Amino acid sequence: MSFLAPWAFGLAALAALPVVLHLFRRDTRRRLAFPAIRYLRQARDRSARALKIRDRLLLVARVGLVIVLAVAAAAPLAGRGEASDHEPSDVVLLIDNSGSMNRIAGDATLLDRQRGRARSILQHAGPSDRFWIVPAVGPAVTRADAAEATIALDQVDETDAAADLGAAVREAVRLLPARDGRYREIVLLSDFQRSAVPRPTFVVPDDIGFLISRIEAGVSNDAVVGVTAEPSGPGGDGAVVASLWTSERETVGDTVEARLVVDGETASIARASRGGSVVFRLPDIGPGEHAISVEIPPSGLRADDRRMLVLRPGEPPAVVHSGPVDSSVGHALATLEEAGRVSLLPDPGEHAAAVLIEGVPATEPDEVVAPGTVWILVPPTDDALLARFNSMLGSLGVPWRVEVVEAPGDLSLVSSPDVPGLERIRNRGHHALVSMGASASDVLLETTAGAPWVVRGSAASHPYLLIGSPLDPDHSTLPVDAAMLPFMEALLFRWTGLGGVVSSPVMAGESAILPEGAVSVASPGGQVTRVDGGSPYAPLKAGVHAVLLSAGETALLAAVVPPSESDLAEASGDSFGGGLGAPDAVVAGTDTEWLASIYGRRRGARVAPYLIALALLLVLEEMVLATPGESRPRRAVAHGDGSRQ
Amino acid sequence: MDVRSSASDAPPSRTAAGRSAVERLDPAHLAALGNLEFVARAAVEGFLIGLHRSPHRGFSVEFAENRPYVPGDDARYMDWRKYARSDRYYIKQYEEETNLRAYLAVDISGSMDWTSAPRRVLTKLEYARLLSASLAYLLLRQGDAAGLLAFDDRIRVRVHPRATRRHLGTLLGSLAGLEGSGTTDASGAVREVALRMRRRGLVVLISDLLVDPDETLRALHFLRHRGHEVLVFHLMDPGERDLPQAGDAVFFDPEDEAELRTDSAALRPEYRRAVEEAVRSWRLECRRMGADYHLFTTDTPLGAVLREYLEKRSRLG
Repeated sequence: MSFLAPWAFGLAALAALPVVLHLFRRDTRRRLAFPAIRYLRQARDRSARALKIRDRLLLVARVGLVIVLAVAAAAPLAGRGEASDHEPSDVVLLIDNSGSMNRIAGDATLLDRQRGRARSILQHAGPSDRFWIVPAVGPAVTRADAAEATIALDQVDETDAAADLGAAVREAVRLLPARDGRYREIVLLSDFQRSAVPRPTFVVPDDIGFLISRIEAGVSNDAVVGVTAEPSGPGGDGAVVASLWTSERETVGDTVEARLVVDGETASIARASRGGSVVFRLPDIGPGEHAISVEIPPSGLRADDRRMLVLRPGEPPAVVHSGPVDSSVGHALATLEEAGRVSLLPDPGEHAAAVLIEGVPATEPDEVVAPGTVWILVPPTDDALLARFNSMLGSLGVPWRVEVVEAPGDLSLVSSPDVPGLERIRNRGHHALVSMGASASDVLLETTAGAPWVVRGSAASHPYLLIGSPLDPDHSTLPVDAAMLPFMEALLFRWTGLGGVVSSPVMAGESAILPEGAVSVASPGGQVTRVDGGSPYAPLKAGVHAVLLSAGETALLAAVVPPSESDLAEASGDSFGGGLGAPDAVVAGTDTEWLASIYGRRRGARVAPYLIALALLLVLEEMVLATPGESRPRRAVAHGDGSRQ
Repeated sequence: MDVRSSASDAPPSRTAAGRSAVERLDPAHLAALGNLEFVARAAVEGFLIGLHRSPHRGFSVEFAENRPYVPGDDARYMDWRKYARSDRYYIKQYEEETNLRAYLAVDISGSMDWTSAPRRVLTKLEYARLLSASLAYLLLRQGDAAGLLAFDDRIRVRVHPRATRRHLGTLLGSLAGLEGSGTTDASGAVREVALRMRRRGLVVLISDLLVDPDETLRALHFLRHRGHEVLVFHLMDPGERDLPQAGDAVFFDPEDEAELRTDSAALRPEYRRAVEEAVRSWRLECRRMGADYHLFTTDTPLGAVLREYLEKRSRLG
């Protein structure tokens, strides 16, 4: 028990007053003549015992009344008081507004429920309390009173971003001013997401209280964690591959309905294995930018049930064929030109997107093409020219060589999703690609023997594609197979990237460089933000953001939920607090625990109201004792005249 | 026909409206008029006028004299011959018979000389003096013989009963000279009255009854045993009935100076019970012996007391 005004105990000395008055009045009582003293004596004899008890009780009541009032004036505090009974405090409300907080917990999102708990802190604030609002994603609001903090709390954005809670805790500690006689506390309102537990690299100072609000909301979740698109040529037709994820391992193999959505309209529906992947055939979507997304039915976290990207199909690329016109490659190019898929140029000029060199050209190829032009290199059918071919590769900076090797028979190719039927192809020659320091990741196709057959890389200012053997019927069955044209399309469009541009989505919360001339960005929710062209921009919500350019054009920017946010599994309280550098953090689960835990430095409940009530009871007792029998009805004395008094 | 029959034929009105202003007059105001005879006459005459019955001489068969008619006289006794001669109204009066001898036994002990409100309420002795004077006036007015016995622990004043008009002055003079002092021995006074009254008569005991109840009751019983009628007027100060609001105080008995320290507020309820029990005991014991008992506080108008006397008188025949 403590006292706010202990000096008031001095008033307790007044308790001696009733005793002194009692004694004083005994000495100075009056002397009165009263003939009927016999009746008075009878009355006293009958009630002597009751009178003695009454006198004692009266004295106790009066002395007790003074003491109780003195103690009440001292403002005693008992036990641990209500939330509002606390020392002046500096409190950082650290709000985890990462994507995983948008899960549904009961009748609201987890973020909204945690926001409600934070509001309860502000509702119990005293006039001397100061607050800092630190969202895990977004700017902090520094030093506010309860009313200002309430407004700031309501303005904390929901995001689909991943949060660095460790950094947020460090920021909270940095914001808190020196102790200066005030209690300091960090209150973290989070979902205990296991994937968000940082490594313990920081320790919260001991004199800072740390309270974590935990609301049980463990829900299962399915997510689309990856989407890739590879347009196979002009118009965008190609493949869209989506990777799915589920928190329920035992359900892997069950299927869910997945939809391919192009520009807001469902283009395709497929059954996909939970936790597996699904491939959609991308329809011809025409030129321009398109928002492509793969969606699955709603699950625990809604934002990761769809994942999107932006696709810009390419124009028919201008290709220069350097080699025999009547070769299989030449025929294939002619066929593609007839189909409007490519545009063949007679000479390699600045407009050529790719130069397909079959064999050894008469002139050095890099002297006549613009930087960035893709080299597609096919070995000569005459092995005698291999030395010159390799010399050309060397001059172009390609770290590969083509050599003739001894082989027991035909070599098969490994199948590829990019080229249907490739597994049927047999290579009869004995050519092989030999790396001259190239990376193994450059291999696009290989033989069943594990030898690279198509490789990709970049040399000087030109990307290149190198085929491992000549493309004529004497060396490969490919030129006479149905897979020839798909192979050529993959070669020209997909592997070169000339079939279209896929803008990689940016993770929500991470920055992307806006195009030059960007003026504003409209979020999926319709909120428009003014931006500067060429500056970084971090979208906080998943979806397609429209970037308005100064020329009146619009560019699309896809933002997706970080895959780590899809795993809603929760960590234990100890590991969560420990990871944040506060192993002794108090974790409040239920609402009752929460109200009992907020404001760690409480001063105790006020006892004065109860003492005042006790004082009133003593006054009542005093009144009853001091006027004995007055409440009883008077019995009348009959008079001779018949009246009664 | 005498006053006894008239009293029984026409009992006084009991309604408040029938009471005169004098009957309701505060005895303290009445006493302030001064002269005891005047006060007694005012009290009795006013009271009797309020009864709407002539207070004057009774009517027996033997004619005595005429007197002028006054409002309230019975028209049956109008002397029409006299009226024919004089053109004035006269009432015929007859020689009355006196067969009642009454003793007024007045307690003049120290306890009687006390009031709880000195300028507003008479002392019990002043009230007793006023009451005795009025009763004496009324007795003599009705032709009864009235005597006086004033006592404390012994008899201080003794006036033998007489029925003459001049006797009123003797009685009033004795009453005026009474002073309260000493302790009380009512039993001795009562016994002496019993011994002195050879014919059966009426004894009116006027006292605060702060006496030895057993001895006093025994004496009253002795009186009744000798064939006398007894009328007890128990006088009580309003403060004695309710106990003064004195708080913590030392109370002392003015007769023997006995003290008692107490808080009157705390004792009031029990005190009232003690008073009620004493009154109940007196009333019960008196009823058992055939005596009339009446309790009056000293702020009671005299008319009420006189009315009780008249009732008693009418029963005596």
